[in-house]
Amino acid sequence: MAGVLTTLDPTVPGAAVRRPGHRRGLGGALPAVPLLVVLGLLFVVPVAVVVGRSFTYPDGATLANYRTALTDPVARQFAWNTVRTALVVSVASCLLGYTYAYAMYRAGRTVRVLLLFCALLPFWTSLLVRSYAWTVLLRDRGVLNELLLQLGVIDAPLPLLRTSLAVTLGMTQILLPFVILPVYAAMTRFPPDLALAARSLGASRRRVFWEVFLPATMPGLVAGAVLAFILAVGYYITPVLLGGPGDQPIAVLIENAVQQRGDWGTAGALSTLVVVLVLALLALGWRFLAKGLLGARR
Amino acid sequence: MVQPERTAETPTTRAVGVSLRSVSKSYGATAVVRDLDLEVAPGEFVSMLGPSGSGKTTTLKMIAGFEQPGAGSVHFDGRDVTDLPPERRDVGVVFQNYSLFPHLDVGANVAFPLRMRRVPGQERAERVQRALEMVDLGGYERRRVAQLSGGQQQRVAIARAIVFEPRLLLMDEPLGALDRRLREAMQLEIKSLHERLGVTVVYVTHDQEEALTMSDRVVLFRDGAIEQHGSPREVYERPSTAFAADFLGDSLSISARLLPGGLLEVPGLPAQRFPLGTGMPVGPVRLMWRPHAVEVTAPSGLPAEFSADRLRIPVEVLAGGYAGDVTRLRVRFAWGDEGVVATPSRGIDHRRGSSVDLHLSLASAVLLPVQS
Amino acid sequence: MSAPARSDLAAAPADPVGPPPPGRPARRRRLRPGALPVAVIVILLVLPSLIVVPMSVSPGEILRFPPDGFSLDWYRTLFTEPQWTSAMLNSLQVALATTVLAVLIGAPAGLALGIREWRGRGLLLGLVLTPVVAPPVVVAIGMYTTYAQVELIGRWGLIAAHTVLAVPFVVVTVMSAARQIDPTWLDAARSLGASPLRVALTVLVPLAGKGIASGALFAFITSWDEVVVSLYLTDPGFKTLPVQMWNQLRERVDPTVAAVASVMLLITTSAMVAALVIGWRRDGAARENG
Repeated sequence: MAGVLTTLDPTVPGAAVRRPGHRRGLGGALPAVPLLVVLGLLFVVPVAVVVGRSFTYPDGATLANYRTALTDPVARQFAWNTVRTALVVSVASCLLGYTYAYAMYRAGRTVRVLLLFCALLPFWTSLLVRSYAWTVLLRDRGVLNELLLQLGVIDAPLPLLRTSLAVTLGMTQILLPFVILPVYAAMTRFPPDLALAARSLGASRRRVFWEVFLPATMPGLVAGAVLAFILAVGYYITPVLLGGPGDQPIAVLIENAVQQRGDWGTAGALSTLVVVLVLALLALGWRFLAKGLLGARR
Repeated sequence: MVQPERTAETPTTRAVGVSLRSVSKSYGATAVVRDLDLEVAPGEFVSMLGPSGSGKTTTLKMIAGFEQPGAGSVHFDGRDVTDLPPERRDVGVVFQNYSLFPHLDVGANVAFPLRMRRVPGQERAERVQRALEMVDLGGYERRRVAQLSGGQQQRVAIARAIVFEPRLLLMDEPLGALDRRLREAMQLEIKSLHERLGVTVVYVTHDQEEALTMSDRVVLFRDGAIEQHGSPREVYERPSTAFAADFLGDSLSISARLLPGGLLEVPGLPAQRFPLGTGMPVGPVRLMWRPHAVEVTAPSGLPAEFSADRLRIPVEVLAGGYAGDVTRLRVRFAWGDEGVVATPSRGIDHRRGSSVDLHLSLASAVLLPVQS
Repeated sequence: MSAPARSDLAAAPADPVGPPPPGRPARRRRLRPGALPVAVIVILLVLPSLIVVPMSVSPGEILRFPPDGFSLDWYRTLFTEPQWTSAMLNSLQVALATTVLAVLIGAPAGLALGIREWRGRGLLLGLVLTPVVAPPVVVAIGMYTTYAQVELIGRWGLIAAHTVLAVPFVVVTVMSAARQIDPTWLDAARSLGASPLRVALTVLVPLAGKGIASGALFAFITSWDEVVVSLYLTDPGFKTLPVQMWNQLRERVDPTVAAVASVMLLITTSAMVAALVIGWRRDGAARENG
């Protein structure tokens, strides 16, 4: 079974192209030293300060802030909002992203380029503007409601803005490309011979998809899902602009603690918990993320 | 006064002698090259031959300056170049994967070393043209690298490596990616290029035929050390170990035993006086013959015989492979040893299971120590 | 996250599930059953980007369907009112400085990561990616409190922060471009007489040039579009465009934001279309010659 799985792994043929391992050791990292210094001073230190304050603010708090963060019902509510939204958005992004990437993969050249263009377009439009555009589309007198009213489908405007639906739509739109690109990359690495082999061994087209193609491209989907979930957990702008009171994420609570109460202890504890969650997910998904980034060449 | 022989294309001989002195190299805990000494004379064509992982390519990289020896030193004409970076060694290198720059056309690739040496434009163009003509690619300057076949790309790589008249040419399995016919044609071209340029060549290959065809001297590597070196004929006909015998080509060998008093015992036969004086200790040895030293005849039906310095032994044919002029037979002795012999493709029944007689002369046998 | 390689577009993958069973006539081109969901996803992807155009030219503050007129008032506001013009100039300054710094710091690391394999490579890449995945609010409050202590606020504070946030994109794009570079090309160049610096200039930069350029573009966009960290690091005298937009959006609906977005959309899509067309032509030419 393990042997079957490894031969289905799409990166295996490419992975055989090991780069010559000469000049190993730390010499290879030399050009990255400025980067390490900059990241260390300007990024790691600030995050470490926030984490540090969860233990030291106010004086001698040690673990008190974590007790608060974990037991406070408000914090729990916000944490649940965050995780629920991230889950819904990741699942939606995976379903839509895989469908879309598969359509790209199967399409002819022209359609593929167009689809790629559409997938990349959001990258080039301000995130703020896209969230704003959803408010224009979804508010009570917005484009969608007006359209439905004029068509006579509804009599009174539907409350669409400041709902979970609005947040889900807005964030899925933002995170979809992060799923589409790794999935599509995994599909292009799929050796077509594998499908032909499966057909010759008696599998129908449908079964080839479910039992060969999907498992082989799964690493790309996992990478996209992990990325989408991680990014969703930290999202701030979209839920604030589009969500209702029940959709406000933990980021808002952290910001309030700092801005309104100067409560660096609670903010630090909540931040630490989120960062730990994100890093844990990154570590779990790293195998798949790194495969796309460091894996087979050419 | 005797003028050294010169050809028109090489007004001056710029060949360099290379010596490696006690060179070692390891990656982490793995020793890749161990305490290696090697001398290459100016103008010599030396092949470094060995299985993959035997250290030959690493040795080449240390001569080129791509790798630093962990211990020991590299000398060109007696000058220590161990710490000289590759760009100042004046060494042409031809790589297995051609390593042509994909963003430059053929002409710009060949001109690259001249640009680095600030050769003025007019002269540069002339030298590029001459180098390309030398590899039969005159007029290809404007072609893109990707438009060329593998063989053409390798010629461009060679032109690029010789255009700046380096004193030493290093080739790392340069023909490894070509098909057999092209490879054989290129072997002869490289050989004639070597003769015309008079440059020192160090050539890495794992193909023993290639090494034997091309070189003045073959250096056989094994596990990071030199197993044996010498002229192609020496290493082929007089291998000093079973590994060298096996690696350099087909052979037939039988186990035997040296007895006190210069006697040799072959399985199933009475001991005979062995005509070659050897310094080998008493004990088990192997007797090895190259295919050309073995005569194959139709079976006589008589038992094995050991007389004067000749052996006649009936063997069983395990497989026969027709290879044009000769047929190669894989044979088995009654006591289990197997080997390969070649015989002219006529008159011999080489079906599986048939039997033939081998005639072996002790004078052409090589005595190999038995490995523990 | 990563720019798709041109080769991804060029390589037309064969039918992954194999040819249709024999004995059935080849299907005429017609809409596949999957076309509808894909169309819906396309609308989801592009609608928010495209809706801003009619918004920016409608006279009222509320966009109606059908539009109730045409007006360039919002563009006039954008290009005349000092709060908008200065915000744009500030953003431009910060984004350009960020791009230069991120490329100078990130490109060498990307090359080192992409060309050769060395121990600790995966770890470094993981570290490099953390600014992208770290929750922006956490990063923002951390930078706010530490940068303030060294008076790194306003213009230079924003440049520093944006460089950190943009550099991962440079590293990743340069790295994927550098994966196309065969390490023996570098050895070859050295043996032909090029010093390490000349190898970088004559071999590395030309070959990784596309990756460096798209990394720079990503860096610019990242800075140009960054809101959360900027909210903490701006000072009243130095606001960037997203900060100005955010303030406007929280107060009321301001179609000037739509005008900004339309201008940006025009610039970025035309750049993208140009890149696609150039790549397309080159691919076509390469195929004919190759």
